[in-house]
Order: sequence, then C-alpha cells, then structure tokens
Amino acid sequence: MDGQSLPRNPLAYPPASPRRSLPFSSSRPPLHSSLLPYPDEVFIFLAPTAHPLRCLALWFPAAQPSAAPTYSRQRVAPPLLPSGYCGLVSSLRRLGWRPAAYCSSPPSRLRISLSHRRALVGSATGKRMVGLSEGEKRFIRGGIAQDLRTDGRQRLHYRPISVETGVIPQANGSARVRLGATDVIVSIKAELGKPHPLQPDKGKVAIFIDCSPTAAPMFEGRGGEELSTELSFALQRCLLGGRSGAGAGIDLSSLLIVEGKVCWDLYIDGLVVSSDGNLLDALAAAIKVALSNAGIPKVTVNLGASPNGQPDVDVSDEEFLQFDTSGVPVVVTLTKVGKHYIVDATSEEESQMSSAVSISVNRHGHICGLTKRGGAGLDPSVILDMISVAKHVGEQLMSLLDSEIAAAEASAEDQ
Amino acid sequence: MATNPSTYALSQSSDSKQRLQQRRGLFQETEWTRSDGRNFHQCRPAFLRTGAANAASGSAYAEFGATKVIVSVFGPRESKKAMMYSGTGRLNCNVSYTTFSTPVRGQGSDHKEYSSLLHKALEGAIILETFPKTTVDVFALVLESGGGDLPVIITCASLALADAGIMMYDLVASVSVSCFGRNLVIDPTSEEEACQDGTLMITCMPARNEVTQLTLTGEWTTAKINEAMELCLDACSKLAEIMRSCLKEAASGSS
Repeated sequence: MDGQSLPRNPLAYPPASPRRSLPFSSSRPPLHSSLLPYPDEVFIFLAPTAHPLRCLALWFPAAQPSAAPTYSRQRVAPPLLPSGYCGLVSSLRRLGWRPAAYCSSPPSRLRISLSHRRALVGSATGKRMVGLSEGEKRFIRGGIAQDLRTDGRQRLHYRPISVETGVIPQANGSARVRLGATDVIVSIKAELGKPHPLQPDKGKVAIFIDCSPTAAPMFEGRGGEELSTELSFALQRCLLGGRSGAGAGIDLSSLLIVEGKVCWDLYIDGLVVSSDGNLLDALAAAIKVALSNAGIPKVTVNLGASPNGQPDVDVSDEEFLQFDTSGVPVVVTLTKVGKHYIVDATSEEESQMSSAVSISVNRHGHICGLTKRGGAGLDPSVILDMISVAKHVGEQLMSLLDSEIAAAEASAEDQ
Repeated sequence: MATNPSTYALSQSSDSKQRLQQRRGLFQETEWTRSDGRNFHQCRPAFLRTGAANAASGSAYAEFGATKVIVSVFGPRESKKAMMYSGTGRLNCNVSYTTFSTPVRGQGSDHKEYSSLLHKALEGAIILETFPKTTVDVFALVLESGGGDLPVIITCASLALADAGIMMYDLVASVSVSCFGRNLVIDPTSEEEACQDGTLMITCMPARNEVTQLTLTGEWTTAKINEAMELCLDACSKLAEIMRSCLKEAASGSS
C-alpha cells in the first residue's frame, strides 16, 4: 500500500504544535472518493472500563467524510457528537475509548455480535500489553508511511520531554524524565571503592536498569529481567566507550582519588516507572540529567597516615564537586516500521517494528555507541543513512536537553 | 580429511599513508606488527568443522587463532509447557564460558550479554515460520577465549544451525574490527582487545547483503564507520565462502 491510499488519519490526536494541521482541516483539499481504495470505513471502539456501553461502531460514509457518522447505539452523550471527522474520533480517544477494530467496508447492519464483542474486549485486556487489531496495525503503518503518526507527530519528532532533577534526596544525583507516557527515574550514588587492579588509574561505573512489574505486567519474572539486562548493556556500550576508555561519556579517570588505592564507584540505577516505548532514549537522557545534577563530595586525602599503607580519606559533607557532563552522549533510537524509520516510537509503534537501531551521539557529532535491536536484517546503506539522521536528531535533542537541564536547575534553586 | 586451516586475507592492503600519532602503549605507532604476524587487514586462520557433538541435532566447532568455540543445536523440539502458544518457532540461545577459557580462572558462568546478542544475530536469518510451536536451542561453549569471541560464536552457531538442517535465509558470518587511533585492525586478539579504543562488530548474511546485528563502542566518525563496515562486510563474505565449503565437505564426506 502506498502513501496515497491512506489519505485520512482520523485517529490522530490533536497535533502537539499548533503549526501542524490535521489531515482534514481546510488547508488540504479533500480527496475524491474514487481515489480511496475502500468506499466506506468503520471503526469499532472499546469503552473505557466501567462504562455501561462496551463497544461502539462508527461508520463513516466515504462520500461525505465530514458528515456525521452513523453509530451502532444511540447512547452516546451529545457532546461527543461530530465536530467533523477527526474531532469525534479524537474526543473518543480522550475519553478513554480504545480503537479496537477497523473495517474498510460497512457491515450490512452496524451491530456487533456478542461473541465478537467479547473477543474484542478480551484482546484488549489480554496478557500482552500491546494488543492491536489488524485495523490499528494497518493504521499505524499507514500513518508512518504518510509522515503523520497516530499522535500527530512526524517521523522524526520526539514526544514532549519533561525533566525533573533532585527527585531522590538520598542519592548524589537523580533525575526523572518523562517522554510522553514513558516515565523513568535515574539515581546516581557515589561510594568509595578500590580501583580495578588492571586499571589502577580509573574509577568504576556500574549501570543497572530495573524494569519493575509495576510498570507493566509483562515485566514480571523473566520478562523484565531480559529487558533490564538488554537495556543495561546497551547503555554501558553507549556511555562507557571503548576498552581503553576512548570516547567514554563519563571520564573514568576523574573518579580516581589515589591511584591504585581509592576511587569513586559510581552506581547508576535506572527505574522504569511507566513504559510507553523508547525506554533507551529516555534512560540515557535521564542519566545525562542525573549526572549533571550529581554532586560528588570533596575528599581530602591523608597519605601514609595509617601503617598498612591504606590512605586516610576524609569525605566532606558540605563541599561538592560538579560532574562534567559535556561529553555524555544522547541516545537516538530509530525504529524501522515498514519502509520508513521513526524516532521515539510508542509501545504501539514498537510492536510493529521490524528492527531498531540505537545510536548514541555526543556533542561533536561523533558516534559513541550503536546497538541493533529487533531481528530483521538491514541493508548496510540503510544503517549509514540512519547514522546520519541520528546525528542530526541527536543534535536537536542535545540542545533541548541542555535547556531543560538549565530550567530544571533554576526551578530547583527557586524552591 | 585433515586439511590445512584456510586463511583468508583481504583484498585491501593496509593504508600506509596513515601516519598520525596514536595514543597508547605498543599501539602508539602507526606501524606495528601484530603479535601473530598478520597485517592489519588480515583475519586469523579459520578452522571450521561440523558434527562436533553426537547427541545434538547439529553442532560445529570453530577455531580462529586461539579462540575455540563449540556450538550445539537441539531441536526443533516441543516448547516448554509454560510458554504461550506461538505460531512461529522460538529460538533460545545461551553462551557460556568454561572456567579455564581465560588466563585467570573464571566463574565459567553464562554470558547474558552475548546470549542476547547471539539471539538477535541469528533471529533474522532463521525462517522461524517453518517450525511453529517448537523451540530450537543453541548452546555455545567457549573453550578458549582468544579475542573476537562473539563473532566466532555467531559464525559457529550459524554453521551448527545449518548442520542441524534448520531452514535459514542465508549463513550468518560475523567479523569485528578494533580501532586504535587512526588504525583499523580486523579480527583482534584478546591482547589487542584489551587496549582498543573502540570496536565494531558486524553480523551479516552475505548473499542477501543484510546486516542482522551491529554493535559499536568507542568514539567514531561517520567516515570511519563507513570504512570499518566495508572492511567487515568484505571479510564476512569471504568467511561465508569458507563456511560453505566446510558444509560441502561434510556433506560429501558422509555420503
């Protein structure tokens, strides 16, 4: 199916920015119905929980796309009723109705049998977190092909990002980053430790990610464990650089106190509070913010004070050193859906991906780490293309994060 | 049927024009000889054999320089009862190290990172639709870790899968390059790996020209990624030739 065959995107949210218009605003000429592959469209919506009506079918006659749709039941509250084609669908979504099915030709009567209804409700509340109907899948893929995704974004647009610092008082630094409905918390703790015997001139950094089952039922047991390790390793690859320490986002030698004797062990713990796709980008952003928020206590070293050669380290409670985070990269994940790739995929979009490439980009536009996720193969030229796109997107994300960090710090000082 | 291990060298010669200063140790100079006498763009001799374990449906042994790996494939066999129904087959990968595989006696435990990378590398190549409701288990054991372990594991695993008769789109070959300052060194040994500035590993299906897995660490410019990818893809296609001839040899030997 090419881009032309899906000219309407009625499930779209109102666009995030006022500059973009919905596909059916007056700015775009309406397509003639003969161009449409299907004469009519029927959407079936599932009610939010505890709603007396369990599902609702809307029939949009293709001949008059702006006309009022026909409904299966009359028990729809009047304010829901049409303010145009997308208006109805998006207000339904806002009220918690879930699109569940989509048919391209109208059933002879708009009544859904009880068994069909049960099947629909079952699929929505079933075990898998992302249970999408065929119609929704087609809709998501079609929207991406048209450069207008279900929430009104373009392919290379991030969701609104919100940043909070200092959310965990016990930690040396912490941050909470929200990317749409994805919500992560990162805490950074510094503890005194001993350098690794093979690398006596460096401190140590450990990254652990926890996907708790409170975020999503599928994280229970092994499911969460697998994702946690995958995310931790991907972040380690992206942030810690090569074996010799070249290209590392966190300068390990700055964590050293006494060579071969004492250093800081930096524990970076991430928690996924709520998951709606693109966890890796959110976690990497949260780590960057948390590092800039982190204060490492100032230490005074008294060499040779103790007889066993162990230096005496005095940790200050008042003075803190700021961490240099200018080298910490951001991670941009490009998710390939169909022939196109998108940034910041929601979990619904992620369920449709064939493969995803996470690329970390630093301030100089250099690539500091790359991980491929998802099974399907990619052409080498596509990967190179993705890298250049990621560099461009990463630059924007980096400057956005910088301003967010400054704003978050300013608001923290005000309080 | 003892044959000499076949070497595969690359068509490109090392670029002697790169004479910029480097940073660390022995690798500070632009020109240095590798401990095993190879040039920068030459891979280690590859020795591959199928049928290393009797009980498995398919198995393979790979020896690349000092790195020695054995991979067994079991299945397709019935998925565990706890698993949900699946219309496509499942792939289960596990990589473990023996306690004596490293110079310092290790724990010999499972390597979770490699297991997940191996899974991702093979997933795209296997036609999972051909064995619904069942699971294929791939168990890799590193007998000796001599650098470039993961590429050898992946290559060996795909050979074992082919030996087990699992339907695949193509053989999967894998090669890594290390970056030292300006130099790119292919198929590093563990001693080189310990002081590398960055590494790039590519897993690909040469006949389809598709990359199934790609990891990169360290700081890279785009031009360098380009160069490294070309180097790896070239080496992968040559490695795939060796794998193919190994399979042919095994087939003609048994008949």
